[in-house]
Amino acid sequence: MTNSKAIELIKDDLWKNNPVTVQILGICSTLAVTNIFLNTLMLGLGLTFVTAFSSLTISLLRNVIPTRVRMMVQTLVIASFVVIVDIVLKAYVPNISKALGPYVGLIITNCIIMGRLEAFASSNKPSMAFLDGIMSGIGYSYVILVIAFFRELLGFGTILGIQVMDPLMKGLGYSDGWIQWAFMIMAPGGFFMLAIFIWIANNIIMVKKS
Amino acid sequence: MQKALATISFMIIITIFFISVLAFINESSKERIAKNLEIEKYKSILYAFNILPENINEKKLEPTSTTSDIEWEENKIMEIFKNQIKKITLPITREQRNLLKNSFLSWQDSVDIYIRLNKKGEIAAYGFTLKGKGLWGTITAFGVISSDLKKMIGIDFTDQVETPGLGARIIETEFKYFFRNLDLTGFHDYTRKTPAIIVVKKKGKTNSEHSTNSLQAITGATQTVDGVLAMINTDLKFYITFIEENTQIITN
Repeated sequence: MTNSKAIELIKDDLWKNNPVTVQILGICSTLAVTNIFLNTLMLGLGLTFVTAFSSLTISLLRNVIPTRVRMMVQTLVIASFVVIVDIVLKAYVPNISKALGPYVGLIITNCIIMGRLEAFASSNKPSMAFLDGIMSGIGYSYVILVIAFFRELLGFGTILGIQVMDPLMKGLGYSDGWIQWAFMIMAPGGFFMLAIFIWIANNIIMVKKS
Repeated sequence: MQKALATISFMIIITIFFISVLAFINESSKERIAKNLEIEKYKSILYAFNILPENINEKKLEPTSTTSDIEWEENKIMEIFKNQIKKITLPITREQRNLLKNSFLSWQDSVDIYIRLNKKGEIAAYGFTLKGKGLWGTITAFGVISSDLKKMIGIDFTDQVETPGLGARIIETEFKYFFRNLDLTGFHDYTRKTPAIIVVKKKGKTNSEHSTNSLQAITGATQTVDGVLAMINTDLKFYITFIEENTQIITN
């Protein structure tokens, strides 16, 4: 793997070809779990792990997987790594496992993983595939974390569960404190935040191109 | 034909390989996971009985904290269970089953009642499992009521699949705190037509400060809270009647 290729890949996955803002993949989980920052962080880490190791595994097997069953094998590999993540969370961080609930299992259905395996891992060397998996995961994670930060702050008035908006508003003279933006906690809040993020990202790309 | 056989053989081999890896990881962590679940269950029961570690003041906990965030020493949990909590299993009679008509407990033949004993060995509180319908699935909780059956001591939600950040907030301290000292006298009024426990948008005081029969709703989680309310009203009515009818067996 040459350095320039790796750097190009990193730039692509993080920005130019970001899985969420450009490829519009992984939208379901972006909308579903981005109302709490900590849950979003754990999901991002889980997805990065699964994408990286699934990409590595598929790349290692790319010359022996029969074409007709490649998607079955990809699904098997993804599901196996998701089960590993689920077991590790239950064994070592049961609080987080409980909080994430069914969303860990839903990583299997995240189209970013299958998308990267099909588009990249099955036709590239293991080192590049592993790097692509990590960077796709990070590219997805930072988008959902930014969305989660604002949704939690405006929806609950908290950052990482610590109340910040209520004391701030009371300090500014508002006796009622922070009135939660319930809209931000619910699904429509996710739609709007994601749309705003994509709009800003695409505008920056357009400005750079022009 | 040969190609098809090769494909099938490949699929079988790779499936067996990955299943073996997962089976190994599962076996290696099975005990640890089972222990975690047991500790979580005991922590939930103790929280519902309003038994907390000595250095913990519930009023100073973060509103969004959960029972899992309360740190216990494992040997302390076991000591309390050994000395203060007893469990008995009692059968449900046909007449008593009528009270479980709309309850998720209706399929059971018996129920477990947990009893907390005070220092004199007298019954201080009763605890039991509650089950109801949430928005996305079943909600399971452990509820505790006082020995005179007129006040709720506490509750903990042990299993739920509600939306994180919305319905799943029932597991947070802020919501559960409203169950402390909840007034249950409405269940003893057999002519009552309205629900014994209700939900309001905003409570000025907690029930610990001023005991009422109302809980505070969670914004954006109406259906989950309605499910919890239905569960409380149905199951508590059953348990209060059940414990009254079985008092002699329990005290023996």
